Amino acid sequence: MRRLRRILITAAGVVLLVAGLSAVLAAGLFVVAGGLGSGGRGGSAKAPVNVAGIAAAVTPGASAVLIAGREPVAGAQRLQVTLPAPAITPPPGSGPLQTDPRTASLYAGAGWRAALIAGVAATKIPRLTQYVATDKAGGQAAGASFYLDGSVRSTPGAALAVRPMLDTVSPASERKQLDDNIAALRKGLPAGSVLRVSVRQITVDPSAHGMAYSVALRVTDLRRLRFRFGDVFAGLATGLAPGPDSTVEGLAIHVEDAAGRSAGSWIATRSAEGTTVVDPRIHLPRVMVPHIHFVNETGGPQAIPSAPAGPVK
Amino acid sequence: MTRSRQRTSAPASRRFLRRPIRSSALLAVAIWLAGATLARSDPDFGTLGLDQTRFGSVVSLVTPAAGLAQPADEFVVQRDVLQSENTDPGLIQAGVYRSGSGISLDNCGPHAAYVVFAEVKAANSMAYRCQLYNDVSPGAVVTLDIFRFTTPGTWGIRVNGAPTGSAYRLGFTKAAPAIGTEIQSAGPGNQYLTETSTRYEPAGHARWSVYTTTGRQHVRRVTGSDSISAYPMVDHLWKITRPPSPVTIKHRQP
Repeated sequence: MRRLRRILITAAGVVLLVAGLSAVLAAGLFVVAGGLGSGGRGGSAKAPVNVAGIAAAVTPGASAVLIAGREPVAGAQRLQVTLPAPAITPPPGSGPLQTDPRTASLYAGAGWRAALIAGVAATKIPRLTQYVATDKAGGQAAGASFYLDGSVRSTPGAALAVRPMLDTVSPASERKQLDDNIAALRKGLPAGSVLRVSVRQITVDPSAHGMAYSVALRVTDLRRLRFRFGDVFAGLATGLAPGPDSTVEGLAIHVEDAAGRSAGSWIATRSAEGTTVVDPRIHLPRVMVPHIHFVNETGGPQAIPSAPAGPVK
Repeated sequence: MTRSRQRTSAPASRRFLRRPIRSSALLAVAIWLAGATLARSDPDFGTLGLDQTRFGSVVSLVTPAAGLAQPADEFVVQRDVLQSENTDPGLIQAGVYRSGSGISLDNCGPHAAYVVFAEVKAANSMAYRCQLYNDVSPGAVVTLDIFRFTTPGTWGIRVNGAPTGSAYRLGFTKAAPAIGTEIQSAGPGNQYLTETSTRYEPAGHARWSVYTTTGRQHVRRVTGSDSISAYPMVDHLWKITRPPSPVTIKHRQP
């Protein structure tokens, strides 16, 4: 009888031990799940944010670290985004960024990727105010900071701009919108104007819909399309960006013609930034008006006339 | 936004027509009719009309392109130019603008609220950057500081005293302009002048404030060659905070 009691006590102890271990294991799993979950909206500010993971999702080979802000604002943090060479280093033979629009476009694209990364990171890191994109060595080419540095909020803790349409449209619907825009553009422009179109889809925030799109167009003669820039830039962005009702994290449109002339627009939704690079050989009209009818499928931004960059005369 | 505003204003307009004509309304209309109309033509961008009214000034922007005629409350409120004497400007423009459905400011995008924005151009390049800062809530006071750092050739912007980041520190290869103190008021009268600030000496410094409760705007001209132009928006901001008044609706009519 005593032996039986001892066996029962031992068995009860084992059960309790197993239960305890299970509880500890479950709690641990919960914590891990919570940590992973912080990559989504509303994650705990206390959990470290995997900024390197965000960077790698946007650009394979990229990384990111948080560093102290450049401005003397208490608590401000800056995100240093390190990009792989192809994304931030002009190819051999490229001209200086001041005179070669392709070089300027490459830096604009690099800064855009950094803005996308910082924009998502800023939703999880209230103290994040600025970002800077560098190469692997932590450096920037002379004059490139204009393209590579930016800000996501003015002061630590400041609310980000409200973007209610973000994450409300599925990536498939976004892509369909873009593809339909491209089809409308090709049909609406003079026949033969567009030689080739390629689209790169970028997962900016895997925890949400969080997509950005990079569109590259090859055209015959960009100068002949200068009065159609409203279609090329605003029309192509119909239902996607820019502005407060943007449905995508970012949209880049880069157009190049056979003679090497180029024009581009890089829009980052969360940081509310846009960069424009226009070949000086192309003279833009003062107002760029879409002529083609683009169907807004997502309920995002309409294609509207745009006042192009530059001083008001 | 345009459509919703028009919907809300239409009944008020009818009420105005039904309402007995009172002396104050007559006075307002008289002032409006007698108000000076300034028109600035731009061969590309259109005509900017500035009508003096009882409450201030109303801006109407009509562009020559089809479909671009905008009601007075849908325009770039202050697409101002702070352009240096250099042929290659650094800071192109900054200010407060609203463009609900009429026109987009470059790729900053259209915006359904008053926002602080800045657009800059890299020195000696073909690139522009545009950034929206914060929305301007009705009743809020927004102060923009635009200045040159003491470091030669770098610009800075502060919104409500806070730096906006490093994106707008631009390389400038030429000397900064001398400080000027000439002050111009954009609104009727000069009752809203701001103080001169030389906090960022020896840099040129421009500052203006936008008071969204009353629509007062302050404009400072920094030097003879640097200029900031402003288009008062009193009535538009009244529309944000208060129901449209009969006088406001009257202005809408051509």
